[in-house]
Amino acid sequence: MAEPINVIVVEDEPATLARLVAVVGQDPALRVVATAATLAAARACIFAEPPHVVLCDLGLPDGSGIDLIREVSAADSGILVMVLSALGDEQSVIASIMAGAKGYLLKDDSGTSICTAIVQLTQGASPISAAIARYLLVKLKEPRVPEQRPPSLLTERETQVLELVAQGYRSHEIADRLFLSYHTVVHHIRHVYDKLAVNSRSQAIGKASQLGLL
Amino acid sequence: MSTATAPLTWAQRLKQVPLDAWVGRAQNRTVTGECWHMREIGLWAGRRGPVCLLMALAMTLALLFPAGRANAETGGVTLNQFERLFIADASEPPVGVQHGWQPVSLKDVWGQERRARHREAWYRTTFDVGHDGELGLFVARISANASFWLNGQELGNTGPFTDPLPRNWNHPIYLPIPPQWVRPGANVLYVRLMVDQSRLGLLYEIDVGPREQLAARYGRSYFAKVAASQILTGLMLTSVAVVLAFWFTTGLPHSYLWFALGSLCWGLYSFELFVRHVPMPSDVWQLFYSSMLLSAAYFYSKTMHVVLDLERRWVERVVLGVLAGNALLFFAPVVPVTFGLRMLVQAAIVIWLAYAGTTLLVVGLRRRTEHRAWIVFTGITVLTLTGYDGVMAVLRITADFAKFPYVPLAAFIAGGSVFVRRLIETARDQDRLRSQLAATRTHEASAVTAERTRLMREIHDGVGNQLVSTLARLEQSPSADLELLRSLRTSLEDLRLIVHSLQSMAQEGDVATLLATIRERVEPGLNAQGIVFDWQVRPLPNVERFDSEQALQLMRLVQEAITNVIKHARATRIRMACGEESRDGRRGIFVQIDDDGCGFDPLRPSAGVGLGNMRHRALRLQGAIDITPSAAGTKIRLWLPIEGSPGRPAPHPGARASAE
Repeated sequence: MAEPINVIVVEDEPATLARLVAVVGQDPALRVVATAATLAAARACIFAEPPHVVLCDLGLPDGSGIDLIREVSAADSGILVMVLSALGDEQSVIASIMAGAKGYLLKDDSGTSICTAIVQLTQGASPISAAIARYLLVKLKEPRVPEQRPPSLLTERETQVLELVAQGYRSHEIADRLFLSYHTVVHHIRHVYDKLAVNSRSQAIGKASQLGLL
Repeated sequence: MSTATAPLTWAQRLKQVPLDAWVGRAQNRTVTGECWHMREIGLWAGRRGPVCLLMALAMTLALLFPAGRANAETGGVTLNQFERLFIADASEPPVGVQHGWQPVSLKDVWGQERRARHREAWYRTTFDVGHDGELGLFVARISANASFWLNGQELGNTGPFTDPLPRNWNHPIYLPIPPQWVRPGANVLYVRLMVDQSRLGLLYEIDVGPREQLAARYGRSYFAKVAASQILTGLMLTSVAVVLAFWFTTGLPHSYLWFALGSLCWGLYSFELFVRHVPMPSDVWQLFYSSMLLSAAYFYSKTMHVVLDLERRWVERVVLGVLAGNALLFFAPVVPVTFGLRMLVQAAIVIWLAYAGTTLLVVGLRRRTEHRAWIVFTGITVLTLTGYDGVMAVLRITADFAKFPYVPLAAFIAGGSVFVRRLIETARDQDRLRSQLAATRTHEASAVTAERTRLMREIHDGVGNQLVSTLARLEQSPSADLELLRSLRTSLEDLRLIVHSLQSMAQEGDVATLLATIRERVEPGLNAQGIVFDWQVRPLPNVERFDSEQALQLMRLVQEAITNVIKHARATRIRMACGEESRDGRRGIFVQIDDDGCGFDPLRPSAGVGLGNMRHRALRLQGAIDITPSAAGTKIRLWLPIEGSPGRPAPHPGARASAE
């Protein structure tokens, strides 16, 4: 294995932060280069020494993690952000993805699944849930208000993949069903995330968060 | 008023003059509520007043002075010097009868005698056409049936001379004269006339002249007397149907019902104006139409009194009394009595019309009521038309045709416009209310959404994060209580389940995605036990009746089924399948969970409680559940109807939880 993946963890709850640092630090492929408990500290350390991956909590004492995600993804520096969510609820995850996050982690996920998810993220796979896939299908296929119609709609393949995700199929099962490679499937999912982010970046901030609500 | 600084316009000045001063009756300028002011007139006249007055004027003028000019001006002759002979049962001109001919001049009316009334008469005259070309014969009005003979040959007639007699009293007559029948010099015209027992004999001047002129005149006359009447009657009956339909289905006031019934009776009465051949004895017919006329008067009285807010029951009672008396006519044995009573009924109608017109006009002018302009309009029209007929009758000048059949036209126009206005207002109100309702609903929906969003944020940022951090702290502690840890995890899982049940997939009843969410939740635990999923979920129609509570029930049910497998079945594989399935003609979906474990003993108490819970949840979901344990594994099949049965209440918790 070559270079370890540099990770910055942004989390204001000390116990949770400690656990995450411990969990990530256990994997030799990953290295926690910095931690931050506030938005300001996170900005400073991310732009001082750009990591590969940022794990970012949303509710920070000095603001919303959404802002940090948006700034990092706007800088287009190749830094991948994963949002840390306590409950994995549609609302916060979608808002993060629209801001530019490439995936989400449940804060209490097991150590292995957190580490696997980070490694896979750098390999192009974005974690997705059935509820999020369904939400993306609804939002990107049939926007309720015409002016909210995204400039690029889902392709047929992307729709198929999202539909199967929404029905509960895992990426390798989807690959089997659609006669695709696993990598193609995860690429499609990542691409949909990118589309949503690009689409929402061009919109007003208020509108984006409005879209992210139920 | 006197302190006005700017010069007043003429209209402003006029509006400030009290009416009493205007009419020169009072010097007292005290403004009281009762006092009728020019200001009010101005307000009133500023809106619908002029239009209504103009309409009243135009309508009465058009009816009082129908078009058409004297025959003589167009080269014809008007025959009005005749000899008349009362003779019964002569079906051909009584040329042989020398005596009994009396000279009369048309218009001729006969039959007012109390006794020994004549029913039949012959008229004769001699005339010189003095005109070449195509000729015709025109009579504006007769009563009730006639035949015309020129130089010994019958020109034509208005129907058979047998009972019931054709009713031509409102019909003009036009007959073309064959050119070869006309002699140069003297021509002899005989006319036979026959009336009912109770009617006057009536013959108008006979015009002989160029066909074109007389045919055109006949057309105009026919339109005014018959066609217009037919159109009016049709309109009235249509409007009656509309108003009655509205009255029955909505909360319209009673006045609309009275108005509709009055118009219905008037419409039925109006058949009298254009039905020539009635298929019943003329007495019966006459009773029918005069009853309709009086009923119309009765209902219109009620309408008028309600609209004008007058308490005049006695008027209505008098009209009812006349109506009852009119019905007695049917049984009256003596013809002259019948005839006299008929005159009384007609007089009653005329008096009633005069009363109605005066009341409308006076009240409309004096009171600030709604629809005032229309009330005055109706009053003026009624009085003018009735007055015309009344004057003609008193002066014994029989007019070309009676105007009072057009009286309801005024009521119809006024009532119709009021009704239409009300409909428009109602429609506007409805639109306004609907948009208000939609706005309220949108507001409510967005309020619910906003509240839900806030709650979710609170749960997420507060309880969720605290649970996670407590869990993390406990995990890292070397002396962690495993039981506590498990219980904390369960709490977090449960919180997550509730959050999922509040999300859009649950709200929209997307069962496939709900199942998928359960897979995400339980799969790590299954994999740790070495159990794999055989996932066979298909897209399903949305169960639109689902709400958060039902989504939660479904997720808990499926999760319990899976937990049971993990705990007891010693299985290696769980198959999750779903699809559409109709039961008893109801569309539905099924969810099937089967494992390859060892089954279970349903009689074991712990198994019984778990199954009872599942059954209970299935009932709350208005569905049905089949649980089939066997040595080769357990099959659980849940069926849910797409549409709920609204009448069926959710069973009480615990009611059947312990059954089976």
